[in-house]
Amino acid sequence: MKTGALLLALAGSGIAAVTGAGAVAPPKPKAAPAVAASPAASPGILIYYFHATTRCATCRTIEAYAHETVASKFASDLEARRLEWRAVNVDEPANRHFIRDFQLYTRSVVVVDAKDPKRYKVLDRVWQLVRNKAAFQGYVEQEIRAFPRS
Amino acid sequence: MDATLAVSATALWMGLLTSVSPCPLAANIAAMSYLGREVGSRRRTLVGGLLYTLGRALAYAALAAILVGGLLSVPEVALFLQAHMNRVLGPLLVVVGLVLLEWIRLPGFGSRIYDRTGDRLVKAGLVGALPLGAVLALAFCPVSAGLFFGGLIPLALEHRSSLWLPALYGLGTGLPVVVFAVLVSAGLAWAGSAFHRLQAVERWARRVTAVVVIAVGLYYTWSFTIRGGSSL
Repeated sequence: MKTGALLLALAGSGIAAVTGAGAVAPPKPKAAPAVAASPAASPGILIYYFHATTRCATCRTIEAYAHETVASKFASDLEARRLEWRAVNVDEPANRHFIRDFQLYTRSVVVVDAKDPKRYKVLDRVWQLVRNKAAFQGYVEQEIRAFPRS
Repeated sequence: MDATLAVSATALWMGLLTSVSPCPLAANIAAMSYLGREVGSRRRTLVGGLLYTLGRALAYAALAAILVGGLLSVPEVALFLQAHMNRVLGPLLVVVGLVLLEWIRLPGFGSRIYDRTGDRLVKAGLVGALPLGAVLALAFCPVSAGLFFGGLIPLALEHRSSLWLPALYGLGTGLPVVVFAVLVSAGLAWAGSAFHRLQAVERWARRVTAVVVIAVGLYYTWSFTIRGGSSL
């Protein structure tokens, strides 16, 4: 019975945390440009992987497959800095603006025009293809190649 | 016709992918235990399972109707549900587990009026299956959010289907749970009759169910309610 009371108290503290979290509005992030300007040798295309502090197994697989695709299929572009891979934790306050900038709804791979960050594509199908590595990597490669360079 | 079939099959397939993804698996295990605890009554388990699946289908259809109708944006809804539903789910599952253990009695349980009407707990179990399905459907994790908001919703928008495709998706997410629940129920019934201890098996099935539901609830409470989850 004591154990029941303990579990009930824990559940109650959870409910209190929910109520508390709902009562305090999170600070709105400052409007900031999606991509910091780097004057010299800026890449043409940025491949972002947006994640949170808590990393699920499937999320790690998506990151690994996407990174591997970029590293293996676009090695010369990476070396020449025409393309860049960035993994970003959106739980960090400085990075929260990416959620709004790219209309993110979960952990995502996004192809972005570095010169005009309003031109971007969220690779929605990674979640459907993550169980088939070849299809996943083919999709990511195709989307990066098809992304129009400005 | 072929195109319609292909799109319908895709929606169903995405639902199946969602149900067996590692992230929603914890919630599904709780649901399987909840539905499969009715030892010796496969029909009741099946009805409960179908109600559970209907609850999921209705929740996804309602959500899709809001999104396809353009009433709210996808990121708005996705982030709200991921931020809040999982936080509520943990404590809720702990309370459900304690009710199953009969350490908490819901108001009215054990009353004379009820006792006259018959098997109240069983009825409550069947009635509870539909909202359980709806609540678990709306508790999005990264994988289910990716498949629903990134896979199903674009498909529903393209084909202007706010009911049929989301309902098929819901069916896909619920079917494996129903099949496993019926198998668990049948297995327990077999064990009960083989050892001539049906009542004892039933009692233990209920306790194990409660422990599983509480364990899943504590996992959700720790991960999402206490640690606070994350922005995505």
